[in-house]
Amino acid sequence: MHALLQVAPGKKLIGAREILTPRRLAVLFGEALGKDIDFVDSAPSPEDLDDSDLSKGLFDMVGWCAEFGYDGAKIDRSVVKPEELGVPLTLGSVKQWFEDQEWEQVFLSD
Amino acid sequence: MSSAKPLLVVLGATGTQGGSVLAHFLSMSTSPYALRGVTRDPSSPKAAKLTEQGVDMVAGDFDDPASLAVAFKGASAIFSVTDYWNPMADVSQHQKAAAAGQKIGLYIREYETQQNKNIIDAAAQVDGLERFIFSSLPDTNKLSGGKYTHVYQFDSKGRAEEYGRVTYPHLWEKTSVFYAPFYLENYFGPLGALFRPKLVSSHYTGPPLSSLPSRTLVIDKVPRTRARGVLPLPLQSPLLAPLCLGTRLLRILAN
Repeated sequence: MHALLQVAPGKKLIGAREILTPRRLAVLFGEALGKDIDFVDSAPSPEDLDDSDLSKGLFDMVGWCAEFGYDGAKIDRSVVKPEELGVPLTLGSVKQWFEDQEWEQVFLSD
Repeated sequence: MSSAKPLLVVLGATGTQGGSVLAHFLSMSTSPYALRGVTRDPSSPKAAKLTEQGVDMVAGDFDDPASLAVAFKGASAIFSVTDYWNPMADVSQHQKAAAAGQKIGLYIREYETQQNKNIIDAAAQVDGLERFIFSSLPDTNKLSGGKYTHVYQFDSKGRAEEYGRVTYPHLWEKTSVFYAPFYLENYFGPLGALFRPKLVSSHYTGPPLSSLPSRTLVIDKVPRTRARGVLPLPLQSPLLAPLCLGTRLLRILAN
């Protein structure tokens, strides 16, 4: 957000440190924890769906992300990533963020 | 904080995005902006803490345009953000949707779009405003040519963004749009268990993992303890994308 104030207006920024697939996210999570983590595909199956807005919303959200990308950047070329703003940034990596958290308590409570 | 500094007004000051923006500027040895935070209840514990840190916390309600006009007075820059899921969790909104004969998802989409229109209308009237940062998301319905019509939490913002661009060209010359991705903080939020790896250990007695559609990750055993470090404070601490939610989360929200 600060970087957007430092550059000319008219930008459309996806404010992500990294853009990752869930599979890659699992790898980074495992590396950060020093544990083996497998990715299990959780795409909704037809029997999980009902006629509610939430259910349809999930189905469309998955479809949208797969086809156009979360930020729609596959169809909207005006979307820029932080490194494309031309402002020096220190966002940190997702893996480092994983490493910096205390996970044991939440895992034990799950 | 010197009053000579330009004023940055941050909406959703006690929330994830607005709070992250304020935390960033508060972390600087010298903030380039005087900071004003807008929240519904300036007396809340979170708001009081921001006041202690030097933020001018003021009351503002996205449903009340007059309150926004007051909150925006003197702003050089405004960071705007609204939320879809809090209204979705509000029982009174469900009652209003039912009374209007509308399904809840569509009702909240329209509600959030109207909140954003109120914000945009107020921002367009601010003398001396130099920059408007609008937290939005793509209008999936429009961009997909009507293929995806139920991603209401995106479209509610994208439709308002289009309203601002068309209605207030002068404001939009001063505007940049921010898309927030999945929040890493969600791992520790109220629904964090739905995002976290499923623990598998000799003590695990739960149902077969294959029967848990919301679990995207599986971990072999309790991870070793790690000290909690100081979180980096980038422009925006919630960052990452894309991660799809599981159906179990939806059932919880629906209930």
